Amino acid sequence: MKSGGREKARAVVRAAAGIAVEVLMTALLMAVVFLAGWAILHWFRT
Amino acid sequence: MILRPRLRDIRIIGYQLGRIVVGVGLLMLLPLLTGLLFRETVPVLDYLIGMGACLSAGYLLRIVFHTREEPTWTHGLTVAALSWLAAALLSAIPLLLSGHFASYLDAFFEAMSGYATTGLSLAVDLDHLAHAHNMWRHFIMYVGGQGIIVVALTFLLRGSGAFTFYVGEARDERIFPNVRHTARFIWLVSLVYLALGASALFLAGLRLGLAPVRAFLHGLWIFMAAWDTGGFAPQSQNILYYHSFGYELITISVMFLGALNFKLHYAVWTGNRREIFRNIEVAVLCVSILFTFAVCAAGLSRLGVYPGAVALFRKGFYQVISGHVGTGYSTIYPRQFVREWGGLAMVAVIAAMAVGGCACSTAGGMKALRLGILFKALAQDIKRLLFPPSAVVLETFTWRSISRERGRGCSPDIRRSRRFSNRSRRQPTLGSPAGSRRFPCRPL
Repeated sequence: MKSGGREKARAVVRAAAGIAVEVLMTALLMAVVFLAGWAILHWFRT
Repeated sequence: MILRPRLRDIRIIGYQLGRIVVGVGLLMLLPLLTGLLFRETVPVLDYLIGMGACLSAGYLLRIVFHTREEPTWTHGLTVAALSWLAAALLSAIPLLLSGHFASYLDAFFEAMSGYATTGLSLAVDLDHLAHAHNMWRHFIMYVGGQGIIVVALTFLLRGSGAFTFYVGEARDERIFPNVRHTARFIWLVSLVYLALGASALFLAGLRLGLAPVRAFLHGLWIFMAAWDTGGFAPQSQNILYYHSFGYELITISVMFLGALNFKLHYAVWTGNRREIFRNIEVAVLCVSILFTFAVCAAGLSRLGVYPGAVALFRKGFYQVISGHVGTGYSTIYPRQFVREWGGLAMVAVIAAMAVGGCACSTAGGMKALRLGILFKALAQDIKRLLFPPSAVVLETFTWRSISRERGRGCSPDIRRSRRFSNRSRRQPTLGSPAGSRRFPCRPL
């Protein structure tokens, strides 16, 4: 594989990792925000 | 020029508008092919008529106003404004011919609602709309979310003057120095997520028991409307139709991803993953969602509408997220929202809708970035009051990674606020004695 091709492959792998991180972080952030909201609600109730 | 357009101006605007109108005609190829694939004869004819109208109007404009002159800023602004109007006017033709709209005005409303990603629909008997028409409605939304000019820049427009159209569409963020590369990157992100999101929704649909073709089409359409924070759906009951936890989880993720700044996508895709945590917009968005959800949950809890955590997530949290990013997808009946939710929860969802998503995204509202800048400016003002009068308070509106770029590539809102902050920073130092103390402040 030529160096240009290797560079492209590296960029694609980096982008794929970025997409995976984005999706996971989105799910995680949503879960954290929901649980924090739920905890605030319980704290107010008690 | 605006007050007294000359023939030269009209020629430039007419010629460039013709190019966009031809592009709108070419977009109709997708619903046309859908109609052919599903043997929907009448909708195929509708799209042939629509395409004929677009192509003849577009080529007529190009022939009548043919010119080789380059557009200026004012021409770009006028072409962008007229493109949206012309696109909605012409896109309404096949919708009107479908027979699912009471009048041309209703079809025009539907088309404009799609392009502007508003999501309001006036379709009669939406549940029995042909696949070709549903494809067109959702495709309009997908195109409108990215911007008609961005589409044209990616696939159609050549030559200089591209940036004038881009700015004319109220966008001046540039991810790359070349505006055409920026437009292509925006489409790359949207198409990659289209493949991922539509596949996930397809699998969720299959698991629900939908037929494979139906699961694929519904997945594709729901993704298009969720990513562009639009809100169109192929069923009148919206997301409630599916009664699926999986569908709800996927659409929440897609809506949130669609509300993120394209520059953030670029940063993460090119290896700068920590930007997710540093980005001021993501922080503001999360805090705002948390705050509005807490108020909404308190309102729902007071009335005892959803006692369990799962029900609260699927109903309360979903409506807050959907409202916050401006999608408008719903997992409850409209009557429930009006009669059962109560005033507090309703106000929380409305407040969430006002905030919106990130700048340079498909989301609406007043944008998280502006809210973040507003709060930081407020905090800086308070600090200035607390510190001695000779103190110079450094104002940082951006995170380290963006500050390091010295404003290049960052949002124009940040640049403008920085210019403003630089000016206000200099003023107190003019009359201050040499060697005045500085109180540098950390980024908030």
